[in-house]
Amino acid sequence: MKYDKYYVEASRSFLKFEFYSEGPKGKIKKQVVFKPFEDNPTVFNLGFGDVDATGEINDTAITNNQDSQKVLATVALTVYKFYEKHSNCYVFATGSTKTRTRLYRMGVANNLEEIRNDFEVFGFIRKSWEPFEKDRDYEAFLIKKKR
Amino acid sequence: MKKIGKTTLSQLARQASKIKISKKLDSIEDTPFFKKKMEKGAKMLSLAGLPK
Repeated sequence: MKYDKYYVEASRSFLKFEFYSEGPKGKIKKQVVFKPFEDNPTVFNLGFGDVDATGEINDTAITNNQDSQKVLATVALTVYKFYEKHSNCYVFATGSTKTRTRLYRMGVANNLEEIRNDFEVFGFIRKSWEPFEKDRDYEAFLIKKKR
Repeated sequence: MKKIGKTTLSQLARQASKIKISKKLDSIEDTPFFKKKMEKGAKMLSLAGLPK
């Protein structure tokens, strides 16, 4: 991905990542966390957001640091790292709001051909999964690394 | 958003391999922000299962 990315650090499990967004609003700590679903332990929910003063992640914060592409590219980088240790798992992703889900959808759609070189991507619509297509109003996404 | 070239994803994989480990990140707390998302995701997975 040609977009710039932030320097990232990972936990040993590759389930938690941290980086700092830098822009007009200052230096803001962000974390990406992959957490397995209890009933589907091979599916990991991807969550990311700003780390607040108490150390908790807030995924509804609007940072306005004018670096959304750089942040999304950095999150994409963490997905690659995640798959180094969890190669047969799915990653589930959805936005904390409809607007954010749409932002993720656009990010996938704009890079779809290249993403499909390495990953299978599915969108959730009308209560089922389908192979991701552009311009469909998906509620969530599932990613699986190709073997 | 610009499209990326075919070679660039392998660059991304290479960049990912350079990510350093930080022991301070090892704990995965049951962060409250995840609760709603986990419920939403669990509901979808329960409805649709996994893609064939």
